[in-house]
Amino acid sequence: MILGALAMVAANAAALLGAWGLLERVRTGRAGVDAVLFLLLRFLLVSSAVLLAGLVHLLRPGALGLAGLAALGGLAALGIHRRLPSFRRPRWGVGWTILALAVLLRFLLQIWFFAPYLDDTLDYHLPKIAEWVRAGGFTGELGVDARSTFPAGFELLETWWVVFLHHDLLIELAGVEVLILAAASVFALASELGWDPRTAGIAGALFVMTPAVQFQATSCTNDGAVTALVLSSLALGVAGTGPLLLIPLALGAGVKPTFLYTLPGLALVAALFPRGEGAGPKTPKLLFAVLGTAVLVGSYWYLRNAVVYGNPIHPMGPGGMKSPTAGSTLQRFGPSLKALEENLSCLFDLRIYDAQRPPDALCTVGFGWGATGFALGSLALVPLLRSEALLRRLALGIAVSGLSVLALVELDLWFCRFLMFAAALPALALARLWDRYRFVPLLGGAAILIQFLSTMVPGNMSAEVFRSLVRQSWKNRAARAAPVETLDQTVGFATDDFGGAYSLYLPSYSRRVVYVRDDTIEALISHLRRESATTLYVSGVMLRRRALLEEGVRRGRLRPVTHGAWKGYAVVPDP
Amino acid sequence: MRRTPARAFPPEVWEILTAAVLLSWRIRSLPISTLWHDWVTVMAVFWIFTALAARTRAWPAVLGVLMAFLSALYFFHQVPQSLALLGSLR
Repeated sequence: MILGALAMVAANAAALLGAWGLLERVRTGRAGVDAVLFLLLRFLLVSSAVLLAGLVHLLRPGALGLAGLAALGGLAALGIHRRLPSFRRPRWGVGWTILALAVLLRFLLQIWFFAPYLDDTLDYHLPKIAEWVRAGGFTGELGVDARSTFPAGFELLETWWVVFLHHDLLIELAGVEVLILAAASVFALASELGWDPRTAGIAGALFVMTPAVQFQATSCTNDGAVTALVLSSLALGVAGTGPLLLIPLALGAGVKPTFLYTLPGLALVAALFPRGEGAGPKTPKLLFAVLGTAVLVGSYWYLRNAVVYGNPIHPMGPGGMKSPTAGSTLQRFGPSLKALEENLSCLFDLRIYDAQRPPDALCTVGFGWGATGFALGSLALVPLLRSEALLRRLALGIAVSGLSVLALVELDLWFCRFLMFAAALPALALARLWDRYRFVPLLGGAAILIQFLSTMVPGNMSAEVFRSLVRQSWKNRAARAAPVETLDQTVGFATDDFGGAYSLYLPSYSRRVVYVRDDTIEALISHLRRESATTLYVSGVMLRRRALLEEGVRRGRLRPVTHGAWKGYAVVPDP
Repeated sequence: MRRTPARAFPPEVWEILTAAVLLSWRIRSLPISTLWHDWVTVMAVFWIFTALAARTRAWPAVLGVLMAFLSALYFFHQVPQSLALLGSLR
């Protein structure tokens, strides 16, 4: 693990220095926008490195560490390290610095003590990462969950943070990284509106204190990444950076199709803030290479689905996506006025109050925007939208993006997580009024304190899981412990709809998991035997395959087992 | 030069009309007794007040009172939820 840690340091140093080297060629000269570009370029470099390493089966700490060292040598030879900027202390006051340090410290604790805990992540986001890291490359296997073929741009970033240690201890760093991008984007937006650096810094900090945004950072889901990429697109759009806007657009499309739902508002902002004279980089070849890489990284998942399934948005079709067993609509396809009306009513009648549950990463039955958004920032928006024309244009774009999203998603308990980018508006407005009236920092300070305290533990992490996570050693920490009876064995996994196969790989990604899709008991048994799997674990109600498995039990080929919380079948040896 | 009808009214009139439309939507869709703690209603009323009295000395005071009121409304519902969660962890 020490060698892995050294490889991680070398590769990250190379990614940072490489991003800086690229930034030197495309920079705008405006600090806020350049910070966003730097973080986007790092995101792009890391994503393309993991994608390439996965495709050529070099997704291993040694290979990536050596590549990082070689890249560092090349960048040093170009003298890029000599042109790095010196650290400048932010001039936003002691209170904000203390808050930033407290949030940073809390993130470190959450990263250490949390393991992936959300069903969606355990079911279909993370099994593919586990498979890639275990195998040292892309195996073609993404898992059997119905949603496993969704775009996985954020998973590339998460893979970066686990591949070196061959362990998921630091996996939440990917979410923190995109939260920093989101904060930098809000800072850039405020700067481009002509506000001073202190106000811009406060706006970024207020956005970070949004409860749902806080929890997204450590939840391993990709909605935080979508939020960050929408905000960075807005920042580059407001700054009029021209073609560079394609970087967050391409990366966003590769993270999650819901990013594309925000395009009408992003296009409006780009149109309302025309490109400045001489804006944009002057190095067309390099720009073409950067933008081409971004498009390749972003479109990879759609191309893969087109080749494998003949449908770039598989498993979505013209009728949306249905539950494989229940048949209910999980996701709609195309806009609907009815969906817009239902979602708007639900949002304004119920969700914005955050009154039904403590906050969590998925905005479960709430918006998760905190009192700073609900009570302070929203009221601050009223006078500012009247007096500031540029803010009005930005707000119009964000509103159009929000309406577009609401017309395109199904009403469910969690739809507000697609709107988290909108929390940037009240954050901007509250920051603008922060120094104008004495009561604003008083009320804002109290709200921030309560929001900080209420974001220690996510509302959808049960007390049982929390206590279990805190008690476990970091090496074995898992929200859903793997069955101890088969720790050193290859195991099979089957589900008809959704399934949490991730935990079976173990936190160290040291166990092989065989996904079973066979339709006859003979094929299933022979598949498991061929792969040396002695136990098949199942998840969900198994409406389709239950009869098959029961037939296996009846014929004496399988024996039902219960290993802790896991249900499954042991393969009965031949007599 | 002839003025277009839109220019015949000061912008404040259009703002008040828009806020009034929002207000009438809430009056039509919610029981009257619940309007005092409806976020959209509070925002619409504050918008009308701002359009009429943004330059008065009362405006910052009203802003402060409404911010405190909405904060109290938010925390009244939210804090017990978070306390219950934190209490369950012991």
